[in-house]
Amino acid sequence: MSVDSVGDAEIAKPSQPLEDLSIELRGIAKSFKGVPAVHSVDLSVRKGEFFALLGPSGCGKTTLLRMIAGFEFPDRGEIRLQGRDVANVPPNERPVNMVFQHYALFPHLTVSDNIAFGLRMRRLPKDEVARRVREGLEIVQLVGMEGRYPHQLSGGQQQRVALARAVVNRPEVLLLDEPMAALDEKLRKSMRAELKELQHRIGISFIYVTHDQGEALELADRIAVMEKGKVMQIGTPQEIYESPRSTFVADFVGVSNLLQGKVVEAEQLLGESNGARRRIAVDVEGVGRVAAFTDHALEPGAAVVLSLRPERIHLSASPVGELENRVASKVERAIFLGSDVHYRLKLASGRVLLAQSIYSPLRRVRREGERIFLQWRAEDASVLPE
Amino acid sequence: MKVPLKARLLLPAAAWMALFQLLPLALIVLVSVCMRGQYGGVQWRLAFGSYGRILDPLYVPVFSRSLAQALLATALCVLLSFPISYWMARLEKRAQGVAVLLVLIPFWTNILVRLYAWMFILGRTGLVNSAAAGLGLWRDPLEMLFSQKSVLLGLVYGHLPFMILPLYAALEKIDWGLVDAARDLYASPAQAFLKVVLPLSKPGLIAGSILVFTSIPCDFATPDLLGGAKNMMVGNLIQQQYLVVRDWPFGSALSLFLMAGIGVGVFAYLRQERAAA
Repeated sequence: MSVDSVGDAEIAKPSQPLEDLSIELRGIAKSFKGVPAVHSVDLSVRKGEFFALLGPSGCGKTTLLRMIAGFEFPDRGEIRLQGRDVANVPPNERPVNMVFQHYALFPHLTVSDNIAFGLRMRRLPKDEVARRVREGLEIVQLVGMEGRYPHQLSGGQQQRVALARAVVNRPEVLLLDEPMAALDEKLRKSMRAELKELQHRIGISFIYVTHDQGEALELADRIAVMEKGKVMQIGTPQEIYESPRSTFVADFVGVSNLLQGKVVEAEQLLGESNGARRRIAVDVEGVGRVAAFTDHALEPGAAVVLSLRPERIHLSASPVGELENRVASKVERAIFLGSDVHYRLKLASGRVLLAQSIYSPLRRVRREGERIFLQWRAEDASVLPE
Repeated sequence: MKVPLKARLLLPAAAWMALFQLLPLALIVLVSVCMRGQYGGVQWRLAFGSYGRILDPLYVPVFSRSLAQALLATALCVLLSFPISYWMARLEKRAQGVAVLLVLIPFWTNILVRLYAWMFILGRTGLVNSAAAGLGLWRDPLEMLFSQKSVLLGLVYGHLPFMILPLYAALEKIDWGLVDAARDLYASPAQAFLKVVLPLSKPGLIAGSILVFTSIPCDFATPDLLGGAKNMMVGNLIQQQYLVVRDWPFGSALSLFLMAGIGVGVFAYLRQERAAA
């Protein structure tokens, strides 16, 4: 897509009122030595929004973040901040601040000098610097640590300093580059809750880069899923999880059974308010005939992938039930995880599906080798065109 | 008898140091408090006259010249090394190895040979003068050799690697993400350098400065070949006492005086640096 066509599209459709946007990217593209890293990305972040850039390593999310920060300049496109294009403005002249993956705290400066760095560079009056540093320390609960050096702090404390150092500048957008990656699992969980709470309190827009889909689902108001330099889908965590628009998104966010098949029957549903909704029957290799709904104009013969979340699959001992789709299987493995039980289920064809159910002491955990029926409704699977 | 492994491993080094460092040093101390023999050598009678002679006004210019040259050369080494070391530290890992090798290659040639090369370059009929004459820049050859400046040039040339390498080692360890962080926190490129790169390169600057500054006063080949007699430094004075005048006690006293001076200087410098940090 060219920059021009993006511009036209923006004018044509009623977009967000400008004052509600924190930052807007239009047609951002960047290559390194001829290798494209980011292809024509458009996205906008609202004021006070927690926005996640989610994707595997090498998908371009960090490059995108570095372009927003000003460490890299895009080859094409606009980065609009506070109504002006800053795509080629150096980082020290942008109203954004970053929390780095390994925090990048200045090892030769104390905690309070680290936090004061940006304020001093902007030549704020001394008492204002002192006030904001104190405020920053309070926000991240590090009062009493101001005289310490970074190497005297734990990983979690270092992260808090990095956060305080950025937010005391009151940026328009705070950029976070996998800030949890260097923390251990337990600390990561508690920091997530804290980060979300902090963002709520200070009301600054966050752009949060992560490869951890759990983190993105838990923290973000909206998520942009990226792959190979492209934004594959933007939506709320629920939209992304419930209605993935590609096999990549279905597979990357959460766990999914991806069922390749061919449409054998397609029936347009009439009288539906959302128009072109169809009910299709798909012949899935190794599973059989499966019913599903789709908004895509699919005709018999079309190749599709059905994405079926493990928790949508119901397990029952008897083949009778009101759910349209039903397959017989044998429990290959049952994994008890406390709140949930995960099953690996082997169909007669040898194909393995994953299912998941909430554990309850009233219901017994299925034994390995047990014969069982899998059932799901037609609307439980997302239909993804190949 | 059971000797712990650690001690056994240390033994060769300790023996080496005792034999070739401590023993000669003890000898120098001993000689310095003896009398000069009539035809050179030492007369084994206690005398402290050599120490008194150090303060003879005759030698003040030699000491002050040495100090000035050492300070100037160290400062020039810092200024010249910083861009080189910085550039080396920002190269790709493999290219860094090549760069270090290039810095070290001159060491494969003896310093005397390299100083003769400088004489050939700077001399009256040397490379610079003949090239200038050929290009019509100046006709009368410039007198570049045998001056303070030519000595300084030689000192900086000879000691530059001792500054480049420690400085490179310090810069190479810097996390360049810190420069990004500084830039993100409203620092201009110059401010990021002054506030982040420079303070973090300090260990290398200190190590390099000490290496360069302390070895210059002891250098006698450079002032001898590029400076001639009138640009004598402490190193030449000591060498003269041993090899020409054959006044070993005075030479020894001068050596010890120089060692003490350098030791006190380095100690004071490190203390002040630590207080500032």
